[in-house]
Amino acid sequence: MNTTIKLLLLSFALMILSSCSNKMNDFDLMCDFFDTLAMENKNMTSSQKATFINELAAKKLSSDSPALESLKAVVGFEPAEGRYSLYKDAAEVTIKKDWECASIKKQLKML
Amino acid sequence: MSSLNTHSSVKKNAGTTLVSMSLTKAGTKLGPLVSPAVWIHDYAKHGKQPDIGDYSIYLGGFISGPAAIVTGFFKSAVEDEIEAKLNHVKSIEPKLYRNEIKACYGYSNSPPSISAMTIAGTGTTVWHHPIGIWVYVTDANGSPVVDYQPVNPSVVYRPKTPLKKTNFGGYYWTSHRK
Repeated sequence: MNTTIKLLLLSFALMILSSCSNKMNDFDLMCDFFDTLAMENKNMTSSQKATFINELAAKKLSSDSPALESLKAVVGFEPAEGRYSLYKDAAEVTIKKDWECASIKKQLKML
Repeated sequence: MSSLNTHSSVKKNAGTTLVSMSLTKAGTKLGPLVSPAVWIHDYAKHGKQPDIGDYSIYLGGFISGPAAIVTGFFKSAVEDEIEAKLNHVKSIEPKLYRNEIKACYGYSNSPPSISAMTIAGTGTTVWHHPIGIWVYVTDANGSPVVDYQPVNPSVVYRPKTPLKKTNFGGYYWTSHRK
């Protein structure tokens, strides 16, 4: 294999690798929103918390983001203790890797 | 010179340059095949011919075309499979509701398991059939059916009654496993 072909293959491999880089996904961003919510105000009502998250999501996520759609759906699940498990499943089905978020786990049942 | 004028001159010279560059590169296999406008421009203006990096970038784009076609075929195959499974589920449900049973696949940009939860939040019955499909039911007017009892589901999502909205706009719902 001559050098030109090797270089060609190397650049092509680099292109593929760069497209698979470890970017922050929407579920991670949602986790950040809940981290922020936890720091901002501990005395918010659940309605105020929903507004807070919705406003952040409107700025940072597209309206059809699976992270946002999942959140809107799972907050309706009862018993509330089961919401995080559903959200975690939704994240892992979407991003196809393990996913955890301590602040969502803590706060989802109170929304 | 404005970029518009520059672009215009590139276009004006492209025909003759393309022939010239193709002939120059005729010794290589790629030469006659690939001639994006920017290469033509570079050659016309600076006598610069595409290098190894240019070829690799162009090759990436060249490959993405067939990839899109393959993705299209794959999507079509998935939709055929969904259709077949949906028809099976319809066939075992009461006749009255058969035409009103729909697949959650394609309801939104999200995977069907997420759409299933969203649809449950609209106030209708959603279920997962053991053959591997999430479906939901409405009445003939497209309105939710809160208390539908599907045949042989593995999981049923059903709105909680009396219907009550969450702070995010959907209704509360529950899950029942068989």
